Amino acid sequence: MIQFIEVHKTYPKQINRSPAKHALKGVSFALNQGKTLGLIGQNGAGKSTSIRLIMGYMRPDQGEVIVLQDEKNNPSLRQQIGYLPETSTFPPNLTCMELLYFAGRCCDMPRKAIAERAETLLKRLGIWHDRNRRLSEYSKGMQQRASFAAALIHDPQLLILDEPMSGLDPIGRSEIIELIHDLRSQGKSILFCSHLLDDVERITGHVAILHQGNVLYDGAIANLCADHSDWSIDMRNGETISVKHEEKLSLILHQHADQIVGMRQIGENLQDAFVRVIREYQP
Amino acid sequence: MNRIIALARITFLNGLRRNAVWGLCLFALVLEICGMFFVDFFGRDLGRVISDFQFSIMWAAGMIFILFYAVQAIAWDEGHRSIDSILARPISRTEYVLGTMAGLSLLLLCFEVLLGGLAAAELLWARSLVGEAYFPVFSGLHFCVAWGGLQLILLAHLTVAMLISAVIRGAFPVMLITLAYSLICSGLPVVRASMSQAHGGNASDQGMVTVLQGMGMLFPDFGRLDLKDAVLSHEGIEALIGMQAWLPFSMIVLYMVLILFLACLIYQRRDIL
Repeated sequence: MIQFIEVHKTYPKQINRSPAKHALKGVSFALNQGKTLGLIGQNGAGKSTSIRLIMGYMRPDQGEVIVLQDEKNNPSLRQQIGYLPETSTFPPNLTCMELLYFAGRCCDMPRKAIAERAETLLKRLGIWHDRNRRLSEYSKGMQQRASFAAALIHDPQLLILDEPMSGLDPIGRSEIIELIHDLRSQGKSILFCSHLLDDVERITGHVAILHQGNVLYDGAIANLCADHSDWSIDMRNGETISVKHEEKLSLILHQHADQIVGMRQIGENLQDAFVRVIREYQP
Repeated sequence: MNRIIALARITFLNGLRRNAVWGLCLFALVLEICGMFFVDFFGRDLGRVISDFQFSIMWAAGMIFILFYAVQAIAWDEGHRSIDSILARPISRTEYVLGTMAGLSLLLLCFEVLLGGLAAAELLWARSLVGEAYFPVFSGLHFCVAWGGLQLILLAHLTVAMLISAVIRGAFPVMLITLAYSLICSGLPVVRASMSQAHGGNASDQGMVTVLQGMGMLFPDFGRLDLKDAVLSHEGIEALIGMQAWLPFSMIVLYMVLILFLACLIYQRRDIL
């Protein structure tokens, strides 16, 4: 669905502003059909640049960005893409229904189909009763839900979600995660960015870690964390020993076999793994 | 076409609900109503004074709309990132520029229809009040043509504002450059006329005259579309402007098409950061 092949992008130097910035330095990753990929990284890592390249807002300096088997990023392809931007801003004096009508009409949907789909989505997202209020009167969380509805109105095959949980309360986050799971089960391909690594773990098992314009890791979360699990050994005297290396583990097991009452593997979570990968990076 | 209409619709609705636009409209309407007070101060030239006043208000209100509202349209979308949400749909950049232009033009025309209607009603009222001796001619058709000429002047400025928005970021620089464009367009015919009067057929100044004429391609003389004198004139429009009436209209329409084409072409190639 999405393929990045050795993509480079530099933001040019601007007068009286920051110097030229090499935002992406040969980035390669792929999202296959029906899969979910979490794009994670610190601020300025290149996540938003990658998304803007996918959406065709910018062109790469070098390399190829192939979206839905098309290299030229034709606007008509966006009929199959649902995009939730990081900042959900719309013309403020529109109502949510007018926004959805606009989004639907742009995808050549008939009025009746837009109305039916809007009702289903807005009820699911909990803003049906506010559908005729102006978007400027919405809270940040409600704007995010309206933006989500606009991204899904045309039932796209590929979803690109930039910080989908931003501005949402814990209940809202759970509802959105549930919705994303439903979309996954319908076979949609989903690429999303998030700083909330707990949520990333709840949504997907596959991540790409971006750092300073480079992909440091692209693969399963399980593989990323498995190699760095700790062993916790409970001793008869109540003491707990934490062991990182398997060689040391076998030594302790050999020397203190009679004093050990239990042992368990404590897996590294995505947060720890992410911090480790970033700290280990040598440019 | 569906996409351009959908985008024009949201641009129109969004503008229609802006308090600032309504405020400007009300202010212009109140000013036009003030034109009625002239009845007591002017005798024989009453029609001309009211007509000039009403057309000036329509022009000024339209320019304020363009310079303080329309120039912000693309800049606001870019600054607040709502362009991300708009271009997330299958809308090309060309459709975005055309849809925004269509929405703003519709808003401007609605606004000007209100002002134009009130102006015509006021002229008719003044004529009925003072009689034909003081207000001999009022041509409805000529009023409509003059109103159309004014709208073309405003739409040409709007088109240029769209071009500048497509080239540079930020509402303030767009406003300044559009204003400068407007001033050059009004000043250039004066400079041209004074050059030709001062130097006659002097060959050494021929180069400057050519440059000024060339600049006329970029900065057209909108004075040819200023037909407010025709409203109260016995003569036809052709006699007033010295050429066939359709010629300046079609030249400005062609100019607008070229400017819009250029705006779309530039915006198509620009990175949206």
